[in-house]
Amino acid sequence: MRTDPIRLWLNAHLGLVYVFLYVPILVLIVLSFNKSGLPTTWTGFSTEWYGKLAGNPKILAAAGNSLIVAVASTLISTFIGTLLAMGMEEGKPNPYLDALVAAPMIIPDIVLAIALLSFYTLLNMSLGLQSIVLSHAVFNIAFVCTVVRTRLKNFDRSIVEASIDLGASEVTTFRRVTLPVIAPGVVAAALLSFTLSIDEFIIAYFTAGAGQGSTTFPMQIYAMIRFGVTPEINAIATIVIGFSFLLVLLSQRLNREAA
Amino acid sequence: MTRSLLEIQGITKRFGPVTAVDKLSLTVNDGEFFAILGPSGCGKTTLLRVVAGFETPDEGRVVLAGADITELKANRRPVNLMFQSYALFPHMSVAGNVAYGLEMEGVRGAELGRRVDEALALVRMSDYARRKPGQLSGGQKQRVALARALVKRPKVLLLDEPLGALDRKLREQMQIELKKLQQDSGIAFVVVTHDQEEALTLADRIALLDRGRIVQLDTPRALYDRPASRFAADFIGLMNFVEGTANGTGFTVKNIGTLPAPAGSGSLLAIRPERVRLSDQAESGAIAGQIEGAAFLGQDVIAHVAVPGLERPIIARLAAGHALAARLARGQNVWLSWQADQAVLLQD
Repeated sequence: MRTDPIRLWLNAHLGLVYVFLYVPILVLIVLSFNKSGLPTTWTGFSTEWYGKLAGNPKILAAAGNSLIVAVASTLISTFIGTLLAMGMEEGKPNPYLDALVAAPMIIPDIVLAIALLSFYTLLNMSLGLQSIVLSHAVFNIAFVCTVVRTRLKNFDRSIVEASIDLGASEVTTFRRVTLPVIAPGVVAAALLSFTLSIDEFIIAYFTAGAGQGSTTFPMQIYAMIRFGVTPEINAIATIVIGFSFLLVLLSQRLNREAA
Repeated sequence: MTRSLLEIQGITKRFGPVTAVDKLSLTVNDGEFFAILGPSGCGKTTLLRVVAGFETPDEGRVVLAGADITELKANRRPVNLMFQSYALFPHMSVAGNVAYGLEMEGVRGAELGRRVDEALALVRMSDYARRKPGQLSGGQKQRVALARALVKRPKVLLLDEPLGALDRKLREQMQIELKKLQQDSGIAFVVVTHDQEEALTLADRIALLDRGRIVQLDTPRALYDRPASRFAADFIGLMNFVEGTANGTGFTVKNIGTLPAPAGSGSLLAIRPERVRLSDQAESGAIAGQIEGAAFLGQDVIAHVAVPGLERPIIARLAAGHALAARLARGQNVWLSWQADQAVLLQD
């Protein structure tokens, strides 16, 4: 069998893309295990920086805050976004409404951040974790709605009627038929909004208020990085990468099972 | 002794400017296999959905076993619908699908299991109880959908194009099974279909619909042999039409003469292809024509005969074993005839 030269070039190109995407990340992961704190010399394998991380109360508190924000905003946006998606799929197609719902995904974060901050100030709302949760829910609803709607596009409406025909009420039909069938889409949407929330920086930075108590994980890293990239930050980044990969794998698997 | 079970009384349903069902009335008897037949857009599916409770009629009543169910919600009607797409719940097993409707009635435990098993045995799907609908073939899905609806022991089972999604061979097999199932269960079936062959084989009576109204309501035999209008004659089976005038003892056609026809009046003569007799010998009273083409269909041969003076050829169907069938050649001279009482006179 002869090797097709075009195929060879395409494979080489693919390889280069992967190198471009993943070598920096690989370097970061390797450096997080570097004994010396310097990014220029390798002095041996060590998990010292991970240990230091575990003993850093500021980082742990920030990670805790991020988790709270991500879980809360995910719950809110998954609930509202799913209902919104169902309502929009049921109604007449309306491109203006579609655009309005999708807008928070497209509006630059910085604009959304300023808008939200002005709005909260106008309402005289106290800023803190609660305002970050609400802000994250704003853009997450748009993402959840979009993901769930793609799932609903393939949804056979006749199974809802079949359930009612067999004697079920609307509520029972939703609980036993509609929700289980769209569940993979809902879970995938929830995973996506969790991921988006946990590494969101700009909006959180603007709407966190002045208190130290509402510093999120990305904000803490930003604070640390002003004094240079420390091996500690490499260690955090490595953990986050591992975590993200896990979530991506999970959501991909859910989507595949659903298909 | 037939008792009326389902009475549809003057139902009208409009969608905007379109009247889908127009003051339609009909009665389905106890234990009957009833077919609603018509071309797409004739209102048959709307009518079915009105009976199931998914559409609210603008006018008229639906009465089931003496009780007015017009205002009753779909989930409270003792009527079940088998959907065209089968609408099986994809996340539940076959047994789960069948059990669902019973669970809604509060059937639990051993009785639930027993009735699900019974229903699956009835449609010969017991071995597939644990499968998911995605792992079933079209015919198997249809059986499960049937079991799911029958297990509720509805007063009337509604079936929306039940065989439409199956391939030809399976369709013929399922027609027989469906008929047997209906007779064994004693439940009245109302099937909606656009397939005249399906209606003819399955039903005890057929309501032929066009533009929201009943064109003819009759037994399959009567509908086939004695269509009451051009629409009915044309929609069901193959039919030859000749325009002219009935003269009491025959049917006068310009440029041809008098054709055999029953007594009566009408301006259209209809004759089924299998009633047309074909001969290669000149006969008195027969119409002369020329073979335009012939097609071998296995059991039968279909011949198109061009008759001078007629716009369209007369179609004759003869058994493949017929002496003439094997040697029909294009351009051959033939003579057509039929018995007067086998033709039908229609008002155009």
